[in-house]
Amino acid sequence: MRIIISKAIVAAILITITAFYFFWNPLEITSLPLCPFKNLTEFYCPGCGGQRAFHQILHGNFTQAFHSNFLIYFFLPFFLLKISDELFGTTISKFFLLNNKGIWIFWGFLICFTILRNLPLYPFNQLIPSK
Amino acid sequence: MENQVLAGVGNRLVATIIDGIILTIITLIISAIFGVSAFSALSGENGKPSDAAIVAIVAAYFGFIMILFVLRLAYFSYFESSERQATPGKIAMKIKVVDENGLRLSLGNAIGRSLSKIISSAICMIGYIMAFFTKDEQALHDMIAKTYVVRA
Repeated sequence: MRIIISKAIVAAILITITAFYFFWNPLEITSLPLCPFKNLTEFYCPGCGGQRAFHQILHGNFTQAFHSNFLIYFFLPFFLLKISDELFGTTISKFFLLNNKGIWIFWGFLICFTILRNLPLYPFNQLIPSK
Repeated sequence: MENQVLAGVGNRLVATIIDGIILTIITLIISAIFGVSAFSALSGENGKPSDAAIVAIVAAYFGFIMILFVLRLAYFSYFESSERQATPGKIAMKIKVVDENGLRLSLGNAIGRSLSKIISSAICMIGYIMAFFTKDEQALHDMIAKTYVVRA
């Protein structure tokens, strides 16, 4: 019973967060958390545009989501798998998890992505989030 | 640690939200005290603040920011190294933090974990999001402090 209640709370919170990002455009809300890295350095971090990308995906604007932050297409499947495993007791996500080597590659990729998206050259300037 | 069941990222997310609400309430109370004090100091005797009052308020503001930082650090470090090994949010979700041997965290390790959260949140929370695709649901601060979040 206890487990069912905690699963129900998790599901309710996730539905609320999803509804929030569906109905509110991050570009129009000033109270959403701002990126400390962007505020301090004026450069885009690898996560910048993630909230905008999620909002666009929920509205079916997949190209705009890609422009905002294409990492959403990497994170979202992991997120869905992990949450469905947790809520329905399956173990599918364990086949896709990154080991230590994978984590290093992931960080290497993030660093490259951060450098490229901050270059003021075409096509790399297409990687910065729309305003 | 091998014999323990991982907490689940959904449970961790809800625990973080509960802790966030508690910390926000405490922050609001401290802000209200600071705000009232600053307002009364700025009013001055003739309705004009003295130079000394302005300097004192600027200094108090930096103190206020430091208090909020230390509060957050102390909240997570104290509760995660306590006997329950969990913050109120984690206790509500029946999860706890353990070290690589599955044991209770030392205070030093818990402080290290809390400080590492600055790095985890500095780049649009990617340090936190990592818990979704690492083998043992470790966020960046868990990797740095070599900790795991498991079912209590």
